[in-house]
Amino acid sequence: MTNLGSHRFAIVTIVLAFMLLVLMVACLLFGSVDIDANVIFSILMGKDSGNEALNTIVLESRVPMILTAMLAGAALSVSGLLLQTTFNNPLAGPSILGVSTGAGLGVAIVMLAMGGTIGGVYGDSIGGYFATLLAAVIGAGVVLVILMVFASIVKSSTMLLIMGILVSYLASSVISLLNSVATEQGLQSYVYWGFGNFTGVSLDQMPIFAIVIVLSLVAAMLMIKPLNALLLGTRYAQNLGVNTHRTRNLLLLITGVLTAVVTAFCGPIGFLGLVVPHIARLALNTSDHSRLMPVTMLTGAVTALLCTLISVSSPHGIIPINAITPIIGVPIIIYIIINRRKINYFN
Amino acid sequence: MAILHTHNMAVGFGQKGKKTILLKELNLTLEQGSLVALLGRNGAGKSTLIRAITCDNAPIEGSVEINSKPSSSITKHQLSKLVALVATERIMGGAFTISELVGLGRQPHTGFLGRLSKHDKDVVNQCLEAVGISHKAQQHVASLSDGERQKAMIAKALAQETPIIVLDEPTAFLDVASRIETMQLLHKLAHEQNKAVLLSSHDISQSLLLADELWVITNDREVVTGTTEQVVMSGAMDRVFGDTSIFFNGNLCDYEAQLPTRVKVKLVCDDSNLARCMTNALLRNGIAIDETSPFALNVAAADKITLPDGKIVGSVKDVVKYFQ
Repeated sequence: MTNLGSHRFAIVTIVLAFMLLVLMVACLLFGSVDIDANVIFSILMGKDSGNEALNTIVLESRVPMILTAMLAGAALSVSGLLLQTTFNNPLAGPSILGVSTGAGLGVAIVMLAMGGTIGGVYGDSIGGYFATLLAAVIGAGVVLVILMVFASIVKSSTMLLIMGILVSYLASSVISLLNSVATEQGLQSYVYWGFGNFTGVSLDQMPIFAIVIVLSLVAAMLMIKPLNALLLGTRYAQNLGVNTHRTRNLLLLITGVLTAVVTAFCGPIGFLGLVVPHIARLALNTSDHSRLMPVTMLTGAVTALLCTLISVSSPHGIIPINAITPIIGVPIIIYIIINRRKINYFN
Repeated sequence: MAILHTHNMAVGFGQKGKKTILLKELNLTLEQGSLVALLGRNGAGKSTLIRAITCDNAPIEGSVEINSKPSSSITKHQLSKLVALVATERIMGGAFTISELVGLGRQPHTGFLGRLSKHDKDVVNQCLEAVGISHKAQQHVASLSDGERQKAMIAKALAQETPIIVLDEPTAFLDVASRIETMQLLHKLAHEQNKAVLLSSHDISQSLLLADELWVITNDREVVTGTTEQVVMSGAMDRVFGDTSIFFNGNLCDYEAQLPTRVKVKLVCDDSNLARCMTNALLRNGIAIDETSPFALNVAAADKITLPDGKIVGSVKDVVKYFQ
């Protein structure tokens, strides 16, 4: 790492950490119910506010929501970064390649066809959410395997994106077919899930959600060396001693688990995975994963919290996350596509 | 010292169990401290042979032995310390600095997380120095010219500290100046750092000038090997293309087209450069040079040509008119 690079890395990290802190506080303070900051602080410090409803809102709604948003944001962003490097395609991402939709199909099968539910809001049956989670992982995995097979046949990255979009369509149409046979309650929870939200992880589900994501993120951090080699292409990576076959499979496994877990709990959140790695690269002006990875995680957490803050600040109820992410994501992607010749990491 | 041998190796490609052999019975040797150029027409099997030498693809028959060890018993990690590759693929890491890119060449020597030690950083700096791009160490790969990029990739290969460096058409996308510079650099590295350097190329004249040895794939799929002078004198260069209208000109160290000619003239000219230019000009206008021809053209300058009848004309066009 160069001196200039490490300097920039330090500044970016500090700014992001500060933003994260501010957004965490803001998400605690703002919401559909106005609660005094002192009360929130004392509840967090473990003192009883004397008001059961306020305790519940802070400890069982806002705190888990903030944690969920941070973990989900980091998870989706890292999965986008891994996909972009694995497929050598800067426009790859879990939503655009159909990985989220694959996970969604798994969820739909459980929710609609088998009547299972997920999330504290819609039911607490442990069996229900494990089944949904497993179905999501399998769904994401199937899409990733299809993409892998296709990528080995067709080398064009544009074709791969189109393949991802086609897989998405196919999965969506299966979901629509399932909709027609679903119960009304199943349909309702599925539609709500599809909007995307960070309120779906209850406190007792939090440990499993957090552990799976944190472990996967740690696993991703351990792949930094081969990821950097893969940026040079398969042939160079192999020549540097990387077992590219095993590395790709591991990377896709990590991506699949991260995307699936987030999708199962929070719905198919679009754009974060595609956009955040680009924000990180633009901020750092580097291709080096040892700096990109932590900054992608932080940026993902910050972006997801920002979306959460916007979603809960409306006086007319909660805005779906998927209504906000494109507003942040699309302009950035358009900027990147237009300026790709000037952006270092594209060339 | 010989670092790589192939034993009765056959290379080719296989699709659905059906194997196509491109080159067979190859008994090749790479020596340290020597630059070897692999020449052959498109589709002759240069890249396939290179992939077998770098152990990317296993040979269909026979074996490759590196450092007296069969390649089948060499692990990927060991291999990364024996053979370094410079491929033709464009890389995606445009926002790596040159120094970081060359640092990736240290991967076979670094630990699980790939952190560079003081020694690794020293090696990187030496490699940047060796290829002459130290002054660009902190610039991004994307800001480099094609020639500089190729130098950076060669520095990456050097940083692997392998006895063998294999380059797949390293000068393919370069302009003449960068081509010459790259070839000279590789020649220097082979000799000064005692590397066995194998490169495939279409750049015949530079290869003949700078390669210590040639591996020439002929049109009938034979690989002729030897020192550059041996191979050229063996006539193998004439067998590279099946096409009879293209022949190897030993004087030019390059291939030429056999152009149809109508007349033969004797060229009288003191300046060898001018003589070569005039020969080309006459050839493309259907006039061949033959020392025994009764028609003598006396050339004093490109625009001062004395015809056989003593008349002085100003261009080759006038010469053509005269012979019509």
